[in-house]
Amino acid sequence: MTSKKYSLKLSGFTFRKALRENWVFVLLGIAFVLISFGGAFDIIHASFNPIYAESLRKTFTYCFAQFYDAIPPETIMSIPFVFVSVVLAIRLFWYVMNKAAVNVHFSIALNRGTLFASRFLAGITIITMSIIIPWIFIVIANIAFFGFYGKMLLAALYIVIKLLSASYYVFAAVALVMQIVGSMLEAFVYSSVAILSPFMVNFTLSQFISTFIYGSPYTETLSDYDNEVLVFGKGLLNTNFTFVNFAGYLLPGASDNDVISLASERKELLYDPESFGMNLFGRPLVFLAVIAVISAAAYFCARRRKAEKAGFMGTSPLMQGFCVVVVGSFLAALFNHIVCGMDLPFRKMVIVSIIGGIVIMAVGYTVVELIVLRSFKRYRKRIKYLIAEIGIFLLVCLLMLSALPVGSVKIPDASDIKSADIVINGQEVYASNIYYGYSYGSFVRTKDKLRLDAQLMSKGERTLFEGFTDKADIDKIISVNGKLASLKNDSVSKFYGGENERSDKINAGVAIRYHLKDGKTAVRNYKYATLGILEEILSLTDSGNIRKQVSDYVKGLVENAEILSTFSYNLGLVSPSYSRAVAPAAFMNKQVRIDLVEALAADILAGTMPLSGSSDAQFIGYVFMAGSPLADIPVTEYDEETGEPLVTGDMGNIEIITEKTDIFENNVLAYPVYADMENTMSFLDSNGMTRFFESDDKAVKVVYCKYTEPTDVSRYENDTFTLWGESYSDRHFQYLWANQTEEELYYMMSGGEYASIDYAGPLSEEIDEKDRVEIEDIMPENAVTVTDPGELAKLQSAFRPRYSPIYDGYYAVMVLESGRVILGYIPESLTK
Amino acid sequence: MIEIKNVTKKFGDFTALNNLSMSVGDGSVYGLVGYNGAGKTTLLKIIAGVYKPDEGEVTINGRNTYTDSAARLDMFYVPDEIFFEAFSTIERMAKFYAGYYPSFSMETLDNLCNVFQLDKKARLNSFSKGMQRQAEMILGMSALPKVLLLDESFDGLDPQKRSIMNKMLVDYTAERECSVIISSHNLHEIADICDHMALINGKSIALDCSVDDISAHRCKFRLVFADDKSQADFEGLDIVRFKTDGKIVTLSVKGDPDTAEEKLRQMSPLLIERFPLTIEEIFLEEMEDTDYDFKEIFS
Repeated sequence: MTSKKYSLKLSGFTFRKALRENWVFVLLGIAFVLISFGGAFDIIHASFNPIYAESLRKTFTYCFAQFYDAIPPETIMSIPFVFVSVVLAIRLFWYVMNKAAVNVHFSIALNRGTLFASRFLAGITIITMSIIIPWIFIVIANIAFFGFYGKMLLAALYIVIKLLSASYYVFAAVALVMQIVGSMLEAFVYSSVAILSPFMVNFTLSQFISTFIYGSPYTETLSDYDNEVLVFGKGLLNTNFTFVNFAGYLLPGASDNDVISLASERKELLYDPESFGMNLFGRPLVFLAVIAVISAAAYFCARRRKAEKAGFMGTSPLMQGFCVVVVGSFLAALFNHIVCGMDLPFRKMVIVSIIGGIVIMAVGYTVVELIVLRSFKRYRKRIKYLIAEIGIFLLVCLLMLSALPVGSVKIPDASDIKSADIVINGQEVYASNIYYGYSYGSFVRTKDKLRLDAQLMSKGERTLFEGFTDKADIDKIISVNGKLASLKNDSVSKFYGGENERSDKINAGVAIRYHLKDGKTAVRNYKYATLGILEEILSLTDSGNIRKQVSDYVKGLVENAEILSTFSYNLGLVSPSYSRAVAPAAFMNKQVRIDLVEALAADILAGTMPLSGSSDAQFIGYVFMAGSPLADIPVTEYDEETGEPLVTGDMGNIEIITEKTDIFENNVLAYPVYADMENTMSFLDSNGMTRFFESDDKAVKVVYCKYTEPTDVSRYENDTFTLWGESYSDRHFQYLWANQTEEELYYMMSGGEYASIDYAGPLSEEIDEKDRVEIEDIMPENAVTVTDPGELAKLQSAFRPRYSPIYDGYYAVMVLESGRVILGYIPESLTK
Repeated sequence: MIEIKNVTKKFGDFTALNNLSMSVGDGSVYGLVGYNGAGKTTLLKIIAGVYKPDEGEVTINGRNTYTDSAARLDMFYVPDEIFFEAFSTIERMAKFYAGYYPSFSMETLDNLCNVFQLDKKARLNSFSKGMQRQAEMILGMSALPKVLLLDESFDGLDPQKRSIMNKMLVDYTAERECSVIISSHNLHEIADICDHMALINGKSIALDCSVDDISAHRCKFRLVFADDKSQADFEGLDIVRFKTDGKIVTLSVKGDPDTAEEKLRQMSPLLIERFPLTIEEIFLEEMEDTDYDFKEIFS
């Protein structure tokens, strides 16, 4: 037998032996996929219930129709498979770490490279089988039960490639590290760093680029922005479990809400739809290419592996250096991240970040070196590497500060720009994001809203305005861009600070994307803005183009609601003081409902409905859409033809739904109706619906005060989320103002009942005497109580329920004849 | 034929072997003796292809054992540090080695297990250290290699098992024309079975000789003369060691013992006694004027 044949025979034996010893991982993988993602239970369930099966089929079809467009490309990681890959690599390559094992394995008639390759291939085979076998089963089962869908195959292929590439990467990285280092401790630590290194490098780069290059596109405002430079690290370690749970995209029976919400969210980001399809498979393919390189490196290292390394620490200065640099830089970037949270002026932020980074790197380097070398003398000899590391860090920082790595951050010339887009913080800033907007927060002045959204709602929600092509608009955008760039070294306003601590500069987050005539795209991103700049952007976006987008979006909501049974948008009308709310869904047929929404959309398009949601025009009431069916709200059914109630004996419950339930605690979207909204008003008049806005419930008392500054951050943050739309409670106000107590407050109504201050209706339970308070008791000292009927009528017409104005206007509590207590806001403009 | 040519091996700044050369013939049982840390294991690992020599090469029948993996097909290395797979038995390890050694004989294994009374199906981690060594050597011999490298393999064996193992090795070597290199830090352990011995002193071979040759050409005489004698009186003899105690002379000579005795008798001693030299004595005499530390080797 020739040497080659012997080698083949021996490597075949090695391969088979490795498979035999690790077959349990194949079973683990199969079991994991089938149990967790297989949807097997859904299929079994459906097979016993044909009606359910049909419903599943629809869901299934929709999921796959959405899949290609909706799935986020960074979904790459599946923790269990990563875990399996790590354990598998350790099991297959532990012999190079063990002195006894290495003697035996390196003395057999198989060279080190072939031995490694045989075991490596066995590992790859095990991973592949554990992922592909269950997916083949799932796909076959789905096809057999639901029929053939091309998108399903595409989805399955994509998911399989994603899982495979993530698993291969981890396996190859651990294998490479094990071929380099000498001890298991090092193998574990360095493998962890190697696996996490794409994420850490990505974080480090994007963090420093975003903070050191003022105006660069890679800031956290666009953390979801899909940029090609950082594509590798970004995808690998996204351990967002919602995304990892890909059952929602592939399998019948899984919730399609995720798909829908993802699809809607993605539209708000700066993804380029045209390149999205390529990115879908592009990223895993990039991974596979990287894996090939890592595998080749591991093979090369295995061939050159020295047996004498086995069991010894510190045998790989290169690997040690790599890990120390990666982790050190990452920690320095983390420090920079914290420093940035302090909103220091740019120059101070840079100095603090660099000094802190150097200290962190030096400490990290010293600790690792002393652990590995266990000799201060040897550490001193190697101190030059620390100096080199810090030198490189400083050099990179300087490069970033001079904006060299990503080219110029200068503003393009107007003549080179084809079109421009703008992204700003906040869900409710503009009407385009109407899905979330137009709830209570819509009835305030734009300036208040801008500031609030920019500062409080910058929690990852963004609004995109795209397609500015007019020269005037582009010139204005360039002007705005220049102003944003000039804020670099200004002090930042402390939102929670007092008057003297506030500047015009606020932590807002604005991104501008220029589509250049040469086909390139330039993105500029700024962390800070001023109120004036934000108002300029608002005026810019109140254009026909944007209104068309918003209008289409509103119409699309109803269309989607009709298509997707899972979303039951229930239209309703509410009087300004909440005293009457009806659910016309019960008496309007589908066409009428669509017509109503189209009327709203027409007003948006025509500009009669302000995009900001604010208007000084007479406020008529709300058109609302309930995110969930109004099943919990007792309503009387109406005849669709006549609009008359079918059960007359139940009239007491027909319209006053708020007596039982505060509808605004039911995820309701409210659209304001102002008297000058011609299309909507015309539709409502012609259909006899304006009567639903009428209310005889007159105000008997209004207590109001100038809204004062919140001064206590912790208290404010305690209820931050209460400002995110409908769910905020009056406990929030309680924190902010005079009483500063956490006790529940109640108002004694004229009828002797007690109303909780965060509840719009009467309470049925008895309240202890000691808890009784009057409205005036919970208001600031400067609060004014109005009981004069003439004054009350004026205030009631200006009253906008439930919104915290923050800086302008008045906080107000209105007591109605019926005993209802409504908390709200009176815009300053309407008091003059 | 195993040839070690100018092998140098360094670990960092420490030189373990320096330009070391030696050769082991087919069918030879070669004893490699040296104190702990003398370089025996390093040399064996280089021969086995585990370590790459920094300079020089090791060949078996002309094939480099490090670069040409096929050269290791007929070579089995029994290392000092015992390796068994987790929860394995002799039977399982036999299957492991059978995959890598085409001539592995399960029949031989059975026979050897019977001789040493080892249970093939018992967990190896339940064995004593001595039993584990036996198991390892049994596995090595069952692979029927042409070259068997034993690193401190007799360490921990009781005298009875060592005796059996010695016999087995001698028979095995004779039957299969196999070369065996046995390393030990204790000459007693291997003196009986080696036909060739080398003394390694940390960087190089201090002594390399055939046991038969060296034994056949060495002997010790004790003589009593009527008058006092000095070494100068014994011209014509290749004296290695000379000691007088008045009229009593003790000396070791190189060369043919009969010829030496003939010459001594011509000096008319009152008494002449001839003794064969033990291998230990020969080694001692050979290394007398060197800095070699014999304390452990002859302990």
